[in-house]
Amino acid sequence: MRSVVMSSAPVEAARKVGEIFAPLFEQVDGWRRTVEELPSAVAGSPGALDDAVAAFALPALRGGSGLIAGAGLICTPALLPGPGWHVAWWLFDGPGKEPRRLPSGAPGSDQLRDYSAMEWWRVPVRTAARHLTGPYVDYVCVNDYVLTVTTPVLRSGEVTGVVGADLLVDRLDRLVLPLLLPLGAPCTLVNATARVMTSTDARREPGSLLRMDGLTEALLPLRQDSAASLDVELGDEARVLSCGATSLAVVVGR
Amino acid sequence: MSGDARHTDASLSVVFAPLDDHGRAGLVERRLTDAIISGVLRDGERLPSEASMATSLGVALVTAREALEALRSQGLVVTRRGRDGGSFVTCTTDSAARWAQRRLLESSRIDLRDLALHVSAILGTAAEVAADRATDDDLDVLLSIHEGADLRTAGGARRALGWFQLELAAVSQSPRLVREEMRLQSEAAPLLWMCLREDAHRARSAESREEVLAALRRGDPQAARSAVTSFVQESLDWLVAERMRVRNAQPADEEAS
Repeated sequence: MRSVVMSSAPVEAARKVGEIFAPLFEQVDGWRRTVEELPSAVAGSPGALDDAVAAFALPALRGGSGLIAGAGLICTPALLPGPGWHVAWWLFDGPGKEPRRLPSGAPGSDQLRDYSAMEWWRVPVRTAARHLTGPYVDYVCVNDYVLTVTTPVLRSGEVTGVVGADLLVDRLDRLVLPLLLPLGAPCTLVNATARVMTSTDARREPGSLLRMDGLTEALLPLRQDSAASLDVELGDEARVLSCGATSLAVVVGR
Repeated sequence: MSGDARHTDASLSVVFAPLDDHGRAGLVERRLTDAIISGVLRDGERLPSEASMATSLGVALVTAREALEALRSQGLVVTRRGRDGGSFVTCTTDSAARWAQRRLLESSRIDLRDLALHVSAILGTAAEVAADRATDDDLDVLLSIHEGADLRTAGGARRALGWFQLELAAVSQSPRLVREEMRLQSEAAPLLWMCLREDAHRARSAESREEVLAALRRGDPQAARSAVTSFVQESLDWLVAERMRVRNAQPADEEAS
């Protein structure tokens, strides 16, 4: 076991997991630039802004397999005319079907209209950097188990909103597991809070917390910087490796 | 063998049982009525347009229109024309109380007991699993909902209760429990949490949240479950007693009709 754990195979697997996310991150970063570069007349008009967002969100959802379950822009309250938060967000509604727009004020959702406490809003706005939230159950948009990547949109140095995408954990699982299974050692993909996204070990349930001595401390750099590079030994037979700039880590060996 | 056959028959009868489709407009009407009565939609609040309501509920435009018409005829919604027009909730504390009372009288004691049991099963399991799966960040979110609770009114207390429970279900990391919790909130909340009319029960709801938070901090699943289910049980007890009280207060001829 130890020889597998300490070989270059886990490094390679962690890198490949990161590569699954890299193009998705690039896509969202591209959306951010698109929105930041919009002429003021467009960015300040809800209708024109929605059209500009739809121009990148709809193709991302239409062309996809459902991995991207939602995409769009959410603006800071009071940035645009009209009450509350401006939400230009579309949801995948099944293959071949036209994506569905998320209504900004759904009936009965009164208590949920304030997004400021949500991690996918709070963290990127505070750090002015891209952030991966989850895995978590998103009950605002897709009602499913997702990872959400959001990145802040800045105009004249001020955050005016976030663009982002919801990624279905179920779909990611199908992409990640084939990379981890060949290692031949128990292998678990966790976020920076040690929440399991997927695992080759049947006892490690997605959504549970991976409890191992020293793991929380080992993951600490990822909580502070999602792009931190991590390759830490835990005890004799386990190793923690970061996956690119995702803030996720692979725990190999236990 | 015959046991197997019977089992198969029963499974088949479930497969081909009539789909629950008695009037989607009725379902929409019920959902909105519940939200209005429970105070989730407040007096004077503007409802989304018929079109956006139809989209968000996933029903046809005519269905949303029909539901709104029913709410208007019951005086729960008014529609104003013109530039600042739209449909607005009209629901005072008094009319909400009368509505809830009527629903309470229409429900049998078995209905109430069964509803509470269903809510306990979902919320109790959510709390139990959450105790094993909550991170410090999750606890912070739950705590901020708890601390932000406005216990001065029944509506405020109910909103805090609903939000806390929904977040608790989310912490369990189960999409199914979250969806079921959302469904139950619209169906059961106006009735089951009627006790929040009273100060003492609003205080109890806050105390129950404290117990849940403490159990989550200790990572104690059974304590988390029982903190939730005992509050449901107390709410049911109050409801059963209230139903008895209202029935006894009514003239006999009215009850018979």
